[in-house]
Amino acid sequence: MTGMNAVEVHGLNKYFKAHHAVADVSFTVPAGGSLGIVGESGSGKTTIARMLIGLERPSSGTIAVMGRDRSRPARSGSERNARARELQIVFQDPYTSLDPSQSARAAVDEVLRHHGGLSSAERASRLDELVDQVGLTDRQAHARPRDLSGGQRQRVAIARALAARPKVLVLDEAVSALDVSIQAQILNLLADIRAETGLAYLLISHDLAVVRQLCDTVLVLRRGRVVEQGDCGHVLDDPQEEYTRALREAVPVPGWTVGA
Amino acid sequence: MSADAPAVPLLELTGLTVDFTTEDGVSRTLLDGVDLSLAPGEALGLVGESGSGKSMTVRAITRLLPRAATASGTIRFEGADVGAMDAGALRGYRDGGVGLVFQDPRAHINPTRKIGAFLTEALVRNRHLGKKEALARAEAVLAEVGIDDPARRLRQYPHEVSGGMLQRVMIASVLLAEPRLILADEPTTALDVTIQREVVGILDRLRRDRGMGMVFITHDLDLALAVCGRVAVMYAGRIVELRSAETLHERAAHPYTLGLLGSRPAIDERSERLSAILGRPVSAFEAGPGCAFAPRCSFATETCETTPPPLTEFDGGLVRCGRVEEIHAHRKSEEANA
Repeated sequence: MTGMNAVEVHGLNKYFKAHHAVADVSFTVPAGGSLGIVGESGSGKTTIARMLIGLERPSSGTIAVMGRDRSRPARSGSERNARARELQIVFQDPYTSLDPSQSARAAVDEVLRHHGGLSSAERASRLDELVDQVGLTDRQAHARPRDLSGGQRQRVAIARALAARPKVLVLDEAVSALDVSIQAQILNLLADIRAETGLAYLLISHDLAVVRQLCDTVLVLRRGRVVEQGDCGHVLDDPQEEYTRALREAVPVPGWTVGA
Repeated sequence: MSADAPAVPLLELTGLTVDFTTEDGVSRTLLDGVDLSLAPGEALGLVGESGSGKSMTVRAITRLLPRAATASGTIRFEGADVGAMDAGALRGYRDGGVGLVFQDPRAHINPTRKIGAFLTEALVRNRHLGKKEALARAEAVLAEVGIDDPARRLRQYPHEVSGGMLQRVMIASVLLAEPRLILADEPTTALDVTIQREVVGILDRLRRDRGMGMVFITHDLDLALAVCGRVAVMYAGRIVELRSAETLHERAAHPYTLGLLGSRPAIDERSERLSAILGRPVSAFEAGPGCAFAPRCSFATETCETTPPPLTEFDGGLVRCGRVEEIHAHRKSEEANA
């Protein structure tokens, strides 16, 4: 297993009729690595995430996660489960991805049951561990989504994703909708989880500062094409492409003045 | 401001409070005694998280509060009491005094009518312009907000243009009314960063050219600092710090402002750990009897929990913190030792 890439994508293309949404995109995420995919609306970043989790089928190209090809739909339930154990996703708005009638614990327990192999005692202890790992209190763990804040709901979504013990976590704008002070908590939590578990991250984001905080490497995407990719520090500090520079300069920072 | 600047502020809020009555008849405070003054032509930022009351402030200023909400305190626009305006005066105030730019332009534009009809409606109805003249004016303003081929845009429907373009159309519609004050509520939050830069650039240029005042509401402290001369940081329905944008990074003194500054990851370096603030932001009605920020504040004492601190002058700004001097001295000594 050593040296194996967690994610390998080669020559990925996606057409929606005549629209070339993803054009010849290739990247790798090493095991335990962290890649940020950055782009604005229409860049294709969400389409890439959807192909990774199997919601869209690539028009051409290959996707492999932990060495297992997932360019084509899974042909059996066990294949689908195996893929789910390798890669999980956390979306921007956990409110729409959590069942409103389920408590946080029940939502996480559902995943543990599905992936099986645990006795009820083992499940209970794994549940405690997950709830603790994402920093939810016992009371919050028994609450329904509507009684939780945005940050707490996102912690539930992360616990749910971790329950399957994946090797890769896709974070699709997972901190974008959070208040600034909560976003910082979740970014710290995600950094801790990666350090503890050696999980690989694939962060889809429009926010360069968030990518810098969480990722080792970055890929800049525009209109479906890769503009620039490489080490986060190199690309952001010394962008080689004009578009990357424009993105970088559009971020308000101390001393930034308006000017169109 | 020069010495002969007009003595009457463009906008003055005194003790502005908004209470909301829930369906069960429970009264909840959303905005708690906001004092603010804006000079003609000045840009002021209101920055805060969920529940801070920043959007409620704008709704109160325009008297567009939800039915179940009531405002107290006073709002003066060019000296006139907005709360006491009759229907006619209120219409004049909303049609020509203040202009509103919202986060989501698509929610505030009729999708079944062309952009030209949207832009000229008020000119024809309120200013009694002929249709041709109104269209010519709309075209000129579209050009002013940086829209290419404005004549063609006037014939398009809202769904035919991008979000960034539509936000410019909204700004153009506000400009056509020639307001003295623009209220911009998260006007660029839904836009891509490169488009955000263009749109705030346009807002800033037009505001300066036309000498309009602006209240700019955002969750993004650095954006507010770039666009505004002064910035008010709000928490739980109150202003907790107010200072010039130029000095805020250097002189921020309220623990919440400091926390916000530490929460944002930097673009030019990765920090070992973000100095996140514990807990979550609360609304005014959830706050305790003392300082609303005390439960999340690492400097809080028992006194903080029980005694509400006033907004007082400190280091060239206004700060609502009972321990501001001690905290400042403590931080300075830590900096000196570092």
